[in-house]
Amino acid sequence: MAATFPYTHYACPCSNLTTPASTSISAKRTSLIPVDAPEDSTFNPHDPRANYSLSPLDRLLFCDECEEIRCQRCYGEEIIHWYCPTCLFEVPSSGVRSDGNRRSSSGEEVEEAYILQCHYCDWSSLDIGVHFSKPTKITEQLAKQRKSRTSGGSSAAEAQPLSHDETFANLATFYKEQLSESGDPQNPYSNSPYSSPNNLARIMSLYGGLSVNALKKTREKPQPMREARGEEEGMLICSFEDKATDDALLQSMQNLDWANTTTAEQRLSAPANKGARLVDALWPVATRLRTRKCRRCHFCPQYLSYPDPKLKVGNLRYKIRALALNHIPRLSIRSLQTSYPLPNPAFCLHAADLLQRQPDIQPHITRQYILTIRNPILEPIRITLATPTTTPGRVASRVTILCPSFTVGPAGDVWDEALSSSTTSMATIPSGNGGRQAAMESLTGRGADESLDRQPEAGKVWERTKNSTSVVLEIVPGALKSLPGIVPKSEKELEEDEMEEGDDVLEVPIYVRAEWEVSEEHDDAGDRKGGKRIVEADGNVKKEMAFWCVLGVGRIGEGG
Amino acid sequence: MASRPAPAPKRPSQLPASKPPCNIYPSAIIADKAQITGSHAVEIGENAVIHPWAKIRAEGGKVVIGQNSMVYEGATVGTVDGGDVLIGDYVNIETGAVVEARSVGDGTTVEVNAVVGKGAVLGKWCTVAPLERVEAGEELEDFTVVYGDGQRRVDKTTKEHAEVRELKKGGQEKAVQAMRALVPNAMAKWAG
Ligand SMILES: [Zn+2]
Ligand SMILES: [Zn+2]
Ligand SMILES: [Zn+2]
Repeated sequence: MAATFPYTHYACPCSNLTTPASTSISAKRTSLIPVDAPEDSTFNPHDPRANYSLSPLDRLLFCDECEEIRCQRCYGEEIIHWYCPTCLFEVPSSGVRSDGNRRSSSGEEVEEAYILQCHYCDWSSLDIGVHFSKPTKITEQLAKQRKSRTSGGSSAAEAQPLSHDETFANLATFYKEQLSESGDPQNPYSNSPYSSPNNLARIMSLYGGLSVNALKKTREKPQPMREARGEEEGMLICSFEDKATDDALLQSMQNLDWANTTTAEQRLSAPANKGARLVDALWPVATRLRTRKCRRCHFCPQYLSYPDPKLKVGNLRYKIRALALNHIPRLSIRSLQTSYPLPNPAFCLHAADLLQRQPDIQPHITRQYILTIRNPILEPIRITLATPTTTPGRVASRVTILCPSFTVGPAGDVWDEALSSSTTSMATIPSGNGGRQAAMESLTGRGADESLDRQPEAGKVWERTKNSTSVVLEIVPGALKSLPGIVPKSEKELEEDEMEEGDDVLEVPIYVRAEWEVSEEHDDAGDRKGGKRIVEADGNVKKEMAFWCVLGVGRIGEGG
Repeated sequence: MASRPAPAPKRPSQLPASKPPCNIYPSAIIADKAQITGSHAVEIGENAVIHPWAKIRAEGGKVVIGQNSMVYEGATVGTVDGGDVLIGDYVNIETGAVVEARSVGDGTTVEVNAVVGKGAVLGKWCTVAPLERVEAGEELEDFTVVYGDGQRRVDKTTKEHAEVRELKKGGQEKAVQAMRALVPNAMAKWAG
């Protein structure tokens, strides 16, 4: 992943990129794990598909019915309404095909007819012989005239090639047929390779004098879905045969000047204009409408985001917006050693600062990092972290979480958080030391002895704030090149040693489990979850959530 | 009014020191704040409307505005040293436009802030789109549209449909009538 270090990317549960781990997992998980969770597997950030399943927390949504992270692939978008980007007129979905946008067609009366006219360049629909009987439903009227024109043309001259519209319609019909005939009815979009019996029957009757029985037999044989073959199935063959048409076109291009030929932009403006070589052949297209969409969970009917319908178009307020960052603990990592600061990319003032290559991590030298977990919810959570002892991928680095299990306090008021953001070191709270040291602590917000090289201890939390807890992570970066052995390597081994792009990036997969309790009446998701929730004796409901995330630590240098 | 000699009255600044010889049709409207300067003849046709702050400059030659034509606010018609300017009938010179053309044909519109250089000849039913330029001495055929950074096209709609031209004329007549109610006439200041 091209990103500035350090970063934390979260894996959506919809991606199943976990692979059985060859190594054991450093922390034993204490309690039940969801069925899909990998007991003896690990998430491989170097998997080619990892790029598509990892995202920063800010880009993820959260379904509070399913109580799961939802990424782009596990929610659907539904159009709420259409609107014209120019006048912001909202078009109800039912009217999109007929009304289009409410074009400001100051209709001029020509024998009780209306025309479209451009007040800038004086083009009007009369130039192409189009006028309207009423000033409403312009799009519908245009479509009708277009249709009568194109079909009229082809009936007049048999040899005329089909228009792009017709070809497209044919192709769409063909694919629909193929899908409905090949897939099982419950799953119309499956790509299962079954035959399309009707097509087959038609073709058989065309080409062969087969008996009914033989035909039946062939029907039973599964046939893979096929592509369009002829013009009536939507395949348009590009031919150089039609010299007469080409010559006529060239002739008219010679007679007219450059301004009368269409631009690529014009030809691509609409399917109807694709074949238009001369300006006269262009067809008016309504301003393309824009849409406002809501997002809906693929696994339940819950809305994950819904724009505020009362507000005017262009206002970005939401009625519903379930962001993952309000539900999922946020992990961040920084170096404990001050000599290698991991700069926060948010504070880079110049683009050049971002491009500046951060110092490479030296292989084989143990380094310590502070991993901070911030709790966004109102209940205290219990966190259990797990990571493979060596990172997956070509370069194996050893990772140890000194304190894999701990609690994180509840999130509170934003103001509370801001005021209590100064950290106090829980591990080294001086008891009854009072006096000067305590005063220093309250002033600097740090334990006085932190400045003296405080050593991270196994099983101890590094520091805590009201809603965050930090623990220390020890990493021994692996080397990019394996040490030369005595036995010369085979060609295959050498090939395997070949580095690929991204192999030098030190990424640590971490499995995060959060557990907390909510009182029964506060459990909104409870009703539908049925058996899954466990109500304790005190009336609280146990909740848990688990996910993989990947910490991007830095780039390992050649070093050595 | 003033029968006895008085000290020289302070003239409003927009009034020219010398009033050009004007021939203004009685049904024309000249706004009080319109400016007509120069020493050459100025003719304003039937139902023509000269808006406030429009400038007619007859320093370089005579200026003729045809019937049912309008010169909008801040537009300048005429030359300081470039000869006569003849504006046809049913012509619109829009806000901020500068027209020093030798002649502008009937039904033509020079849009907002467009410029038509000295000696240019614009045909009938032409359109110069906003901010476009017609260079000095250039000639535009009838029904030419200048648009999109100097592109030219023929206005087929107007060219091929007499009824469209009639409609446009009718529209202009209505617009002129509407302005008649909106722009107070100070024709007396200039006539005669
Ligand atoms: Zn997903
Ligand atoms: Zn246009
Ligand atoms: Zn859901």
